[in-house]
This record gives sequence, C-alpha cells and structure tokens, in this order.
Amino acid sequence: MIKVRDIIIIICLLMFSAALYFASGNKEGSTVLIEYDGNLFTEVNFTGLGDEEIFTYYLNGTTIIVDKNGAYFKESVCAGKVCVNSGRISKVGQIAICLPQRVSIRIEGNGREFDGITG
Amino acid sequence: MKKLNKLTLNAMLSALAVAVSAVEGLLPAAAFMPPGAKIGLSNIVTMYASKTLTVYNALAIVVVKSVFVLATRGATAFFMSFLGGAASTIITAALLNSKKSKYGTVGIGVLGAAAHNCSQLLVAVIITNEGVLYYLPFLIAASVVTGTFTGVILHLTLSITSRRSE
Repeated sequence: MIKVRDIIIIICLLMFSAALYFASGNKEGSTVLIEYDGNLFTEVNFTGLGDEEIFTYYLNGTTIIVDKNGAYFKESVCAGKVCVNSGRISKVGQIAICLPQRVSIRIEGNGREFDGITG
Repeated sequence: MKKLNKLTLNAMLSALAVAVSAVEGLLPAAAFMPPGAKIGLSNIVTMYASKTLTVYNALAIVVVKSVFVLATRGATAFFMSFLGGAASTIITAALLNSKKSKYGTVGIGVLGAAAHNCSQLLVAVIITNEGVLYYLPFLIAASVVTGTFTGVILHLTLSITSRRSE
C-alpha cells in the first residue's frame, strides 16, 4: 500500500507547497482588483476607507463588497458558491474567484509584489 | 475476462463515477481545505478501472463523467473536470500498470490528485488570470491529504476484489 517512494513524494510536495506559501509572503494589501472575464473591471484602494464606507458592486450575477478590511463575495447566482465560501480577502496575492461567472477579486499591495512572484 | 464482461464493468464503473462525484458535491466543505477542493472520490473509480481494465476504459469513464458535468454544471466545469480527470488518469494508469512499480497506491493516489488539481488550476489561469496561482500551495497540500485517502481506499478495493475473482 505505502512504499518508501510514496513518503518521499509526500514530503517533497509538502515542502514545495510550504516554500510557495512563504515565498508569496503575508503582507496586508492596499488595493482590490475586481476582474471580469480576465479584464480589469475596477480597482479600489480600501486602506483609506472609513468605517461607514462600503462599496457594493454587482457584476455578472455576483455581489462584491469592498470595505476598509478587504473584500469578499457577498452573493452569487452560481451553483457551487465557492466564491462566497472563500470569505474575506485582505492580504497581498489573495484571491477569491467565481469561475462560473468569470468574476475574480484579488488584492495587491503598493509595490506590486505579486507580479514578481508569478513572474 | 470476456469482452462483454469488460463492457458491462466499464459501464457500471462509469455510472459509479458519476454517482460518487454527485454525492461528493453534497458533502460540506471541510474547514482546512481550500475553497472548491474535493476529495476526488471518482479518482478511485478511474484508478480501479485502469488497474483492472485498461487506461482506455478509464478515460472512457472520464469522458462520461465530464459529459454529465457539462449537462449539470456548464462548460467551465466541463473543461475542468475533463482536463483534470484525463491528466490524473493518464499519470495514475502509467504508474499502476508499470511492471516494476516502486510506488504504492498511496503515492499514486497523491500524484493523481496533484495532477488533477494542477491541471484544473491551469484551466482557471486560462479563464481568468495568473492570480489564481495563489491557490497552488493550498491545493498541493490538499492533494496530499485527499490522495492518501483515495490511495488507501484503492488498495482495500483492489485487495478485496482480487481475492473474490480467484
């Protein structure tokens, strides 16, 4: 059932994923990018927002909320609700995505660290 | 095995793959898993088919399952299901059927799950943008967990059915 090579594979994969995770960093982001069909729909700087300032976007059947703590999918007409279950995102590189509706939201920092990683 | 028996077994396994993947969709998402990740119960069926039948029979199961996904969940899900299923089936079939395999079923299950997840992520990159690569470390870690699970079940299934057929 389990052989030495299986354990080697598992250890290698876990180390690879840990390395990727730490390489991508854990910084708080400043801007949320809302994209539809791979194209930029809008870009919001959320760090400067006040307590009461909440932006709501309706995009191809999804409802996206942006406030001072980040962004999240509030509702979606899709079947899986993966996007809604992704929860709030606020760190650089984090992404929530609704594949059936082709809508994604992602966080970027000031220095565009993310582009350097995906290269 | 007779040709008719093979055809019947293949048809039954196809139905089983569709059924388990439908049931899997009803399970609640586990807390530690990245959103959208699933156990991949239908991978057990395709691995079993490529071991007891041939890789072509296993790919036929993938096609049947993807068409079911196309009818119920749309074109995006179809491409993800088909490419993920085909990639993992080809890799697991090659490892399972090699004569001097140095890999156990757990390792093969993990590699199959990783191939499944990576090719699905590739489809996601094409549909949206490279931002979804953020998921990659979580998906690889998840495939270790789910692959171990499917590998253990495959081992149990193979050992029980090989005893019966003798």
